[in-house]
Amino acid sequence: MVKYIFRRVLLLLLVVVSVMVIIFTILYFTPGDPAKSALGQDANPESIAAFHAKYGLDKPYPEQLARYLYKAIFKLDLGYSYMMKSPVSMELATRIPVTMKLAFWAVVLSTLIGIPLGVICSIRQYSFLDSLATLVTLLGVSMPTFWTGLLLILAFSVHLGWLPSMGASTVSEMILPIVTLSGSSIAVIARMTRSSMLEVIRSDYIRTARAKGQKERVVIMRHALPNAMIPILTIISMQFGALLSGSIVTEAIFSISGVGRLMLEAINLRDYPVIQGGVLFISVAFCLINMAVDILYAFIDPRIHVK
Amino acid sequence: MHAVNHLNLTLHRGKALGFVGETGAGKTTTALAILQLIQTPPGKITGGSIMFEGHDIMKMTEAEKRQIRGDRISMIFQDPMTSLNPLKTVEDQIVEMIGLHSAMKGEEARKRALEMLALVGIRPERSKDYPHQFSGGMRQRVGIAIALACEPSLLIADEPTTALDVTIQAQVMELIKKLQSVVNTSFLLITHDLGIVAEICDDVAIMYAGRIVEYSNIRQLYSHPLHPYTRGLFDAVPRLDTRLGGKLSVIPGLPPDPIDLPKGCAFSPRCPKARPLCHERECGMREYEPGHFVNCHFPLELGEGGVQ
Repeated sequence: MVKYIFRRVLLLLLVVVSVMVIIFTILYFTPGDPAKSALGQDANPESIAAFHAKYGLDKPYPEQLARYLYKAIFKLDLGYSYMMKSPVSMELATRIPVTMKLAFWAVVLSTLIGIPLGVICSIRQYSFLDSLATLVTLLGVSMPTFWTGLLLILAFSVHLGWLPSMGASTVSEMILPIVTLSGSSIAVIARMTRSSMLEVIRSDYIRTARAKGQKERVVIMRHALPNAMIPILTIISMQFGALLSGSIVTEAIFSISGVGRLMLEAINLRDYPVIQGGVLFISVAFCLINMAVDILYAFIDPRIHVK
Repeated sequence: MHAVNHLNLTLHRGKALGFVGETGAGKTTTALAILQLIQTPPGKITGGSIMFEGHDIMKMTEAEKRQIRGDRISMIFQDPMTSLNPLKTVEDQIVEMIGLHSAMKGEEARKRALEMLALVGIRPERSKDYPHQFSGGMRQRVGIAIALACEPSLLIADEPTTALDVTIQAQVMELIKKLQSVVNTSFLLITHDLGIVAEICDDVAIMYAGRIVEYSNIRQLYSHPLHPYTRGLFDAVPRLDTRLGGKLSVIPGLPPDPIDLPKGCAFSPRCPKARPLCHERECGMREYEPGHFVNCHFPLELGEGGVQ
């Protein structure tokens, strides 16, 4: 087990370094000059050259890349924000808790709604409820986050005036962003639960459990659901990743100062170190969750041997 | 589509009935109907009654059916590789059965589960293992232990050895037979192996296209089968004295599609003895000689269908 986790951590580091190289390269070759964004379009050539020299932007690509990697990996220094004139790691540290809080509750909410919804649909296959849920989840999957968010603001903040449309510091402020984020995740989780359960319910060991005289509720909850859990867990972990990157849109709509909004602003201003830091955070978080889920599999299914 | 039609059978307490037919004849469907475990939708029992110890299972409430399942009637399934829950230890799967139908709890139920495992020849130290750690034959033994844990009065075995190695088949059948007499249950054996039936059963019913075509005690049916289909089945059993390299005897044609059953007797298109009446209407079950029922207008003469 320890060996397996150790190997997974090594793999994670490899993925993270690759992400860093890729994002750095993409940003390097993206047109636009951060100096002009920082100093204004009509800054004089001397100050632009000074800016470049200060942040090492005048160096050739391999040297810049090597320096970035070296500092990030061995000194945990993600660089300095051009715009905010502060270390990227500090900026991230204040924003990450906000984004994580939203993503976490969105995952909790979508799991708590998605799994029971999927289970009910699977045991009442082709019923009215099942068809209705299929329709609604289809809407949920197809609806872009910004559109759901705007509709929710329009309904609950503008017309009804029940909930605030900005921020995420109080519980009432968090409701709309969390619901917005959960929308498509609930749909995805419910659909996966339904199809996974339908497959399991038809299997022989479920018939065996019924032939024992077991109550249908117990057959579903104790025999079918655990067996259907692996694909559901996989989809939940992927939703977590989707929710983190989805925060870019949600945080912009609800004016929440999390990692997503930080990245959005940084992209507009070509604040390279901040963009790199944000992407790094999302990819590390995504990898960690995937790893946690992989380890969890072994606890659910005795057939999966952790070697 | 009607998978099983006009099926009428009686099984006496403590007796063993063999239920023989080709794949798709409706044997498993009949067994699942007895336990009321037909998957609905899409399946449905449209009529009839299933009398068990004086009560009609069809008219029972869901709770009453649950009481019967496992406790009074239990089933050994065809495929041991898929019939056990892969996420539970074999011990837990037996304990579940015991917990449902007896007052035994906790340690006591656990002890009983170990007893059952010992009875089917599985060492107690393997009780905490999961199904995937067992071979097919061992898993079927676990299935048997589960089915017999509550000493049911009727045991249904649905082709219990079909998925197993030939060498294991005999062992498993031997075990079931032994335990059946120990627990003294009635036994419904579904199979397509006439040899096993002859060894184990008291009565035998031959099924074709969702109907019983012949039903009798072993002695009568094996000494002189009446239905041409039964005769065909016997002829299809390879014998030791046939010439090497010779062709096996087969019944020409294929079993009919249950969606599109032929008019008249379902076997008439394949029957060597069919006459115009057979294509017109089905005969229906009749008692040709005492205790020997056949669904045929023109059964083989007594003596004509004899088997050594």
